[in-house]
Amino acid sequence: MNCSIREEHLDDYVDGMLTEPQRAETERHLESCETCRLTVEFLRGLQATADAMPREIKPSRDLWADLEARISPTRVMQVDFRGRGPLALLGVRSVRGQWVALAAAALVLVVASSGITAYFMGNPELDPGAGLPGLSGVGEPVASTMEEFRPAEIGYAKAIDDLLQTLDDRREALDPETLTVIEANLRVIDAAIRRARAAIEEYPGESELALVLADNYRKKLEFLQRANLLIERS
Amino acid sequence: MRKISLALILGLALGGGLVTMDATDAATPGARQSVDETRHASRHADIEVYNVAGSVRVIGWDRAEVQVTGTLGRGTEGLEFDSDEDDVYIEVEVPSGGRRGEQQFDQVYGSDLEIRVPERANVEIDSLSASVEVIGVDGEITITTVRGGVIVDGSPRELNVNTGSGDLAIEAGAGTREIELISGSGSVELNAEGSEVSVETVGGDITVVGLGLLDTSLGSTAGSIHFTGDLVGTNDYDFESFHGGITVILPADVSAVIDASSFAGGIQNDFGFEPRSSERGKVGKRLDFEVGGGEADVFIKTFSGSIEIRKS
Amino acid sequence: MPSSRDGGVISATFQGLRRMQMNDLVRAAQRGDTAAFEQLYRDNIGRVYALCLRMTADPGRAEELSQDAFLRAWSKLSSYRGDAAFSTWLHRLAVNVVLADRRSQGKRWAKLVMTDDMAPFGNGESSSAAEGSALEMDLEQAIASLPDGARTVFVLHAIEGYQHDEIAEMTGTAVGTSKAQLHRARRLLREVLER
Repeated sequence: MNCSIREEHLDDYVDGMLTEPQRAETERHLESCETCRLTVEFLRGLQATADAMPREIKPSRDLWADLEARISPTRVMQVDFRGRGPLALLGVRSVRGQWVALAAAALVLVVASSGITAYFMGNPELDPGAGLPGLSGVGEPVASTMEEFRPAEIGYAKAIDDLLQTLDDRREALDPETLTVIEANLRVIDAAIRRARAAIEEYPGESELALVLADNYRKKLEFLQRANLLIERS
Repeated sequence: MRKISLALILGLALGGGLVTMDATDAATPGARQSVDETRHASRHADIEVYNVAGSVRVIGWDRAEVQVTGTLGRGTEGLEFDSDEDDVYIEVEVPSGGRRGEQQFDQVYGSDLEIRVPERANVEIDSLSASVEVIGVDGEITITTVRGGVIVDGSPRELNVNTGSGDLAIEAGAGTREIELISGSGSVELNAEGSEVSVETVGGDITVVGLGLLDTSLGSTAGSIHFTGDLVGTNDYDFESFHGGITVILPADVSAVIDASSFAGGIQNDFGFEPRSSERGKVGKRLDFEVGGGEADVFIKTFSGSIEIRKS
Repeated sequence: MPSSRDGGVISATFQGLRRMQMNDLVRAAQRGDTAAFEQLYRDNIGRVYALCLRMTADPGRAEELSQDAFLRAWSKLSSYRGDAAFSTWLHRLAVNVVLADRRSQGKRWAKLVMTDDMAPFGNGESSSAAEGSALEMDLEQAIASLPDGARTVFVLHAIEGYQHDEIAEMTGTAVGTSKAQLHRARRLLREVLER
């Protein structure tokens, strides 16, 4: 380009980002410079074409089935740590580092928890504002006795068993100190679960206790997922 | 011009592979190899660091360079250090088999790295047991260490920390927008200003001093929660612990709706409203009141801990 | 979900109605209703996929990232407070998913092959999914051939309508970088399209 105007300047001109004097000056220049005129013409045509491009494109296959499987409680909780693992599940590519990616695991768990809480709770007519933080977005619990909570508990127990089994299979792959850390944390959570269960049995009708117990189960799941991932990556 | 720089980048990336030691050095018992390498990097570079054990100290500086100094553990196989301007990769390499469950793991593989990075770089650090310290870095910081403690001092744009048992001590300045901290048994101490905050622990105690924090969520299974700070607008402030006590210290002129409940513990309140029995059932204490204009939402919940709501 | 409201029914535009329905769907999904979430997915997948496809120029990758974006949306639904339209919120989240993926990938290597020589990119698969005039298809293909940084900014600015300051914030770069990448994208597109 032989003229003195920088192409970036023409970008700003076309995008309407010049001040009024700059714009007037550019227009004067355009009258005499064909190269710049062609550039402006191209830029305007380009934007017009871009504006006309479809905003929506359909993927070649329906992605919902996969997605549904990934947000439903059973599928998410039965993640096969020996296979692709939760990182891949999230589309997070394996990095070269060998240890942990707990943040990604925690993400999986948010998915798992919203799935499983929905599994036993949620009367859609109730005010969502009454839901408790930590189980946000969930309506009031329908369970207020252990009996009512049982189906949910079975769901949790299944998921926890799977994770414990996986953890146990790999026990010796883990360095002893890390194992100690995991076990100590599990004891804390288990104590909380026992306490919450006892409270539900003692005070049937206290509907909030079901949320408390569910929250403790969720935390146990969450912690086990992280622990397993840790071994997976180490 | 461009071709030349590409060739340069290629040269750097390919030639920058294993930089420090050969196999014979690695096999020498007791030898701790020292490192001192510098690579060019952009000021917004993404920097990944992997060091299985020992320590990692990252310090921001006003140069478009990354410098790694320190010593490598005698069981390690060297340092990989690549840079292609925007991406920098630093890894202490360890043998792939048999490093778990070994006695003196930390002594054999522990490497101490001090890394200087452009202050606006994004930094990601992963480790099994290394302690991690990041000072004066303004980009996004992500730290994962299973057993190591973590210290951060600066204004990272975003901060994510995950630990199993390490303690966290975080000082975040006004430039920080989002803080997410997860710990198992490690305690969390956080001073922050103006950011969104989320902290979750299993057993670790949580202490937060906040200035103008936005949406804030502090949660623990058995740890106590101690929050001191003002509240901003209509943000949500959630404090939940199953077993732990919760203390929330607010300015006397705070504007909030406060909802506090404890199933088995007591509630003390400086703002003058008395707790009542839980309305839904027969057990537990609940306190629900509005102060000032009632703008912010404060939610405090514990199962067996006690709750204190105090004026600062 | 029926959305019967009083008052401004007459003035309620179709869009307003859509938005109310969408908010009902969002609320149901926030409570864990997967059927509601499926509807949200069906209403929005076209836009999300278009974004992912154009930003990655890789149909397979775009499908994965679209799924990730919805997965992410599902897990973050409770943080959606209705300040912006759901589609806007989702769209922004999808942009972040794509950008985060790029950061976490072995992009170090991708950068090495980045070049101003406009070698034909891929096998043209990406354009077959899109529909439109020959001109638009040409542009679709030309965009796919751009280097990552330039393509990102062009797609976000020229097609998706984000401003430079928003792009700078999302990509963690300076406004000047965004402008420079846009300029570069336009220059490269011109080379390809006028060839």
